[in-house]
Amino acid sequence: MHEEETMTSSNPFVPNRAEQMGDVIYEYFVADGLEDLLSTKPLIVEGGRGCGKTMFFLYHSYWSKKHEYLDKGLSLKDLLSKEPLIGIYYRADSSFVTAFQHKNLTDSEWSDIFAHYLNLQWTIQVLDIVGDIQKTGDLKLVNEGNICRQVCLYIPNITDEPETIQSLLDLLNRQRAIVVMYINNVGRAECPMLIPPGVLVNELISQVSREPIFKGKLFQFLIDEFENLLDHQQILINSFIKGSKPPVVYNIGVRKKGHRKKETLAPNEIVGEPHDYKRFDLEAAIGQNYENLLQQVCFKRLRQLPELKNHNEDDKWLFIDSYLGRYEIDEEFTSLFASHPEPPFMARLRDRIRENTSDEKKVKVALDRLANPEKPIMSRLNLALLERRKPYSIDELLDQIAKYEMGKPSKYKDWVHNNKVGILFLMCHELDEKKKYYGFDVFADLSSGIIRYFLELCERAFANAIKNGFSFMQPRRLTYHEMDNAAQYVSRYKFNDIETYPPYGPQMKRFILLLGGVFSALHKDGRLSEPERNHFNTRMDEITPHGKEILDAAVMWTVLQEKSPTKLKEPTVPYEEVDYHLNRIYAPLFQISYRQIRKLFISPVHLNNMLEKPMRVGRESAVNLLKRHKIEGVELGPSQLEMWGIIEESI
Amino acid sequence: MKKAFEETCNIDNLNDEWYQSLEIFIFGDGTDERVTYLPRKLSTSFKGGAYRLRYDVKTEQCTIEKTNILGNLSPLETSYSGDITIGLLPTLQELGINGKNVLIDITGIKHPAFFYLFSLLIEKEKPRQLFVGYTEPERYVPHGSTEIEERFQLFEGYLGIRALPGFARLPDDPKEKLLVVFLGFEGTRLQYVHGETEPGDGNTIAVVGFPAFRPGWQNLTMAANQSALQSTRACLYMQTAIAYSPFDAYNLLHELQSQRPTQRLIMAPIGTRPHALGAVLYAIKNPGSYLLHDFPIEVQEHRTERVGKCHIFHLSSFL
Repeated sequence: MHEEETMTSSNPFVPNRAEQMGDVIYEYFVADGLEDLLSTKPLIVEGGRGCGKTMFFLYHSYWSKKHEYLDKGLSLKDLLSKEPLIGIYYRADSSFVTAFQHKNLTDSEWSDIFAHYLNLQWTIQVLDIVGDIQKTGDLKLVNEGNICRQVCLYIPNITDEPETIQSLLDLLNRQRAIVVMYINNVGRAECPMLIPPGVLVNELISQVSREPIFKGKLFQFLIDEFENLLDHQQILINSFIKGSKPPVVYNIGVRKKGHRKKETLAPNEIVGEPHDYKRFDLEAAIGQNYENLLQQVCFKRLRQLPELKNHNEDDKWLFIDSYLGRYEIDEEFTSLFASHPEPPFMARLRDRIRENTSDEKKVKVALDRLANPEKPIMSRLNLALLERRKPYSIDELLDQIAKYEMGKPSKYKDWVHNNKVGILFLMCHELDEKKKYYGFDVFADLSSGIIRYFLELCERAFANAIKNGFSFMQPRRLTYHEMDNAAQYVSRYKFNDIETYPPYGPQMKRFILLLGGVFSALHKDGRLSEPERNHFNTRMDEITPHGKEILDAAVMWTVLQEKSPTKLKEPTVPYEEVDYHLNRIYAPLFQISYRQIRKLFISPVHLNNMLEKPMRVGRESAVNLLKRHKIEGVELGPSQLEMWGIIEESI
Repeated sequence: MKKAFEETCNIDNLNDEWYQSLEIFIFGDGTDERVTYLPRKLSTSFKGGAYRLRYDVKTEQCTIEKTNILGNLSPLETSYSGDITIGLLPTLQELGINGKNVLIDITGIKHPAFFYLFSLLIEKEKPRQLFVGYTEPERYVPHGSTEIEERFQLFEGYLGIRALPGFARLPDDPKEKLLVVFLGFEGTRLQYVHGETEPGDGNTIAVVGFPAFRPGWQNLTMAANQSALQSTRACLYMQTAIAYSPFDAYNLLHELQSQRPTQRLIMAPIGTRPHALGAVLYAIKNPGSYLLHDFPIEVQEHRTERVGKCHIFHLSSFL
């Protein structure tokens, strides 16, 4: 067996996508905070790729529920008596739904054809479920023949009317094949007689709902990857949402910015919240209790390992934070200074002190108190404070430090608190060391509310550990190197992925490269004027339409995340609409902070250039932006890429 | 469909008799030198009708122009301009392709267009003999070693996975997926296709063109795809197929499907054009399989330089 195969056979984080979990999806699903979302009102579940939309929908589908009940020794009868809804999962597959366009037909004509296809598709899916329930033997439809007859009233040109669910299914499958044949041969094949939107499936559900076994059940359509639908298809589904009423409810899963059209088929009518649907932002919702959710998600995976199956439920090795630990900044500082006992900035600090004081006696005191090699963090902070545009005086520094060390109220406490992480990034740069990203809390932050990213970080970290001899038979905490290496690896390949995100992948990648470069350079600001800047805002009304499209695409792919504004020390900004956060998964690549602390105002001119102009122009704008913040000599060119390890990855 | 019988020739080994037997020649568009190599090679002996096929991936519009290959390849008249699904078949019928000896040069024809063209030639308007030409590049224009501008402007973008004209197939086949990706130099495309299809662990097979067009290019392919191969775990299931051979690609697909008969074969030919040809032939002959394309929008005019070998494939056994 291949070494990698041996390695991953016991890595519980390998299957990390809902679609790959098959029938056992319920074993991985964590319902925390997501209970009772599906109701009589349509639901729009919004969130980035990998945040759990598909998992949520698939878990609520009939087929997943069925497996869950049967695996637990229960029956379909139990399912129907306990579950209030029947979930019908439909994925808008981009390789198929996009066939409903062009070919000399208008959008309106295509909309009718797509509606016809959905009628058939969804009726088939409901019949599949009804047929499956019938097969159990003890659950029978009372009026099977009548259901079939009623449904057939809406199907044109039937010669042989089906009397059973199976024969109706056969008929509809043939009808669906005719639609597929037609869309591949428009102009040559005859267009089938079209069934009006929703009529067939509504009739079926209306009939089925009269059956005792389905009485009171809600048929919840779970339409996933809504963003893949063409505009006319979104409009059609909006009409279904608008018209939702028990027993049929239409719900959609969609990426941010993916619900492009709000119109319905009716003129001058739109769908809106809260009248027509409730919107649920999965990324924001899970953010509130994110760490706990991650623990539960990982618990379910760890629990399935043969090595841990019999452990008590409170055993620490069933909890991911036992493997990843928690990040301690002092630990990283200690490790950093261990290899650099006399950081090079100390000499510069001593020079600054001498430059700022003529009194020899005071110089000696200041050198002892402000440039203490045993307190490198404070010493580096002191240097930054002395080098600021409006530097503090030696006397003030001495005074504040004295109060701080005596435990009295002091500005110095705030300075340390506000700059400690920034100092770490700066020190890593000055000592030519890489910032380390490790620990459960850091991985949670890096994943930016996207569970899949967290699982990918874990997968790689455990793969590294297993290579180093780790086994769940003898579990241990992973080393910071195993974790940091995983963070760097995932960060880099996520960055490389950007290029393929349609439709503006290369532009987005170029923009993120420049943006990450700007943030990275700002983290090297020796004056620590505003450390840890990793998000930005601008005057949105001055962004070009194309630039806005690129930004929207970046939000849709969660390359950027929109959030409510944080404070900004920019008096020139008249108003703030939204902040754009660089997804923190890219933080290890650019060696920047993953904390939400400070933002950068980027003027619309610079931002437009960085978004849509040729790389040379964008780079000039990024460099000028940095110059405005007194950061000089930044190249943002090939050598920078090489340093980030990007060049050798992309040919 | 059984394994494909291979019949491949180098253009230099074909005699005048073969050239003169050709009745219809269809070729593509582009400014790379190799795109015009076969039309020029044919110009002295070819006596039939030559047609240039252009295609716009965004609008699915195509143009077919009767072209003077004796001169500067200038268009003589437009045979058709419009939606490819609507107009290509009637145009082929008007050209009287049925029963004739046809040569298609796929070097410059955009993927969705030549996929659709072959589906029509094999299923609807059957020529008497069908030959396909492909001219290798001698080298690709470097776009990754020094200037980031060049590297990031290889493609203007991707439209992403969308329906291929004539190849829309119902996506809800419950069978487990088997994704076979023919690799090229853009490693991120593997990552993207894998991310969109999500075939499950152990179900992604990556195919490297080997022997490659030039010695060592297989290493470039591997290097470019290294990260994606690892993250998709396709590195555990690598296969090779001769880079210039559609038959080798076809036979590999046949073999892989035979080994995993219960799985639904999804092919993503994002590597060499001969591999893409092998994949489309397989998709035509096996309607249960799926053909995927990510629709890159090329921005650079000159992506390749100079002319390498020119192959002629004899595909009449597929008719």
